[in-house]
Amino acid sequence: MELMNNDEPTLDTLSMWLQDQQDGVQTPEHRELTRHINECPSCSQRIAALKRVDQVSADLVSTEVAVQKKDTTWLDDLMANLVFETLAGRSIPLSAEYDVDNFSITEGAILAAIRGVADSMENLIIGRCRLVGDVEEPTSPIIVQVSATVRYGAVIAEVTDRLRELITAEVHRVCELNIEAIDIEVQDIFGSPLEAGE
Amino acid sequence: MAPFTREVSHLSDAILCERAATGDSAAFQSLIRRYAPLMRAYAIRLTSSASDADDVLQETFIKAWEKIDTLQNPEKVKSWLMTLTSRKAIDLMRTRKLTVDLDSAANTAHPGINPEDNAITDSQIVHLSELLKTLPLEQQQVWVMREIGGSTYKEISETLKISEGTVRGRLARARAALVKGMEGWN
Repeated sequence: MELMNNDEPTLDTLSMWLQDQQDGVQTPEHRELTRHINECPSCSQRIAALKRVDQVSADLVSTEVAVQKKDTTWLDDLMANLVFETLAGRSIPLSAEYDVDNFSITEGAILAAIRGVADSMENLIIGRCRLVGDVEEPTSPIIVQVSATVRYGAVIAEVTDRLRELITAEVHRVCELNIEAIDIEVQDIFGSPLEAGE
Repeated sequence: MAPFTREVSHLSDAILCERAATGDSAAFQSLIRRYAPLMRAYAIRLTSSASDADDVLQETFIKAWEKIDTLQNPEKVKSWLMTLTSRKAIDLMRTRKLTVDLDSAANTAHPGINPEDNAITDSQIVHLSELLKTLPLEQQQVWVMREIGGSTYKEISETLKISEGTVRGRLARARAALVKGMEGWN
């Protein structure tokens, strides 16, 4: 039980003060309470108790997450029941021998094909991959936008040139898009100096 | 094996998210596997039930796959997943509220931490886990969303449809109650 006179901050108030302190609040009221706490042994003690509970709280959360990681059959069951269908995206026309035929390929299929060839490279991993432009219009100029992470030690220009070649060949293999440019944004590196043999 | 498959566990959230956002379901599943244990611990605390938590997770995964291309900042995918989880959990709890209110006395099962679990040896942690269950539900929710979900006051206020001031107040009261309950344990 707390036995304090009316001027003493309640535990709720101190708890609020600690939250504000952690959030970097700097109001005059907060500063005044800070001064009081620094001079008041009882308040300092209760703040220390609040901080200890925060620490146990953090330990509780790590423990609960560790319990979930220990046996992940629940996750395998959940994933087994889900089908993540690839979004088709836009429909890209293909030319046909006869006018009555109407062939097309989905944007999703083209992006998957691009990822497929990019994943055959040892020194690069692609991230984002987009077709920018009016892909539904057969001759319209299209820009392929790709983000990538490159292996430590690899020569970026060589790797990106190779990726451009692969993408160009693959896009021509699966459809008739008029590729104007392939923009590759290298965002990061992967692997370590050790693996690079340095 | 492609470097993507070999390196997937070391790749940044951002790159997995960008691949997922442009249709790569393998990247999406890797991302989900990375955060699912945290999401499940969170959902169990919010719903008080492992099977409800799994329903919440299933819906969250589907929603996340549908919406991942709308995520503005791929680096924030973790907090985005946690927010989706809490929204689904709170929605579920709202639909359950009537039944729970009628039957609150029987609503004691809470699988957050099982004291008999060999993994949990720290008596302080077990005690705190038990104490949390004794807090009013509204305080528990706010505490869990802050401590496990890592949500801001604003996010909590939006999910629970209460003011930020109320969020702060509930959180402060929850912490104060935990300190009182932990007296003698630290």
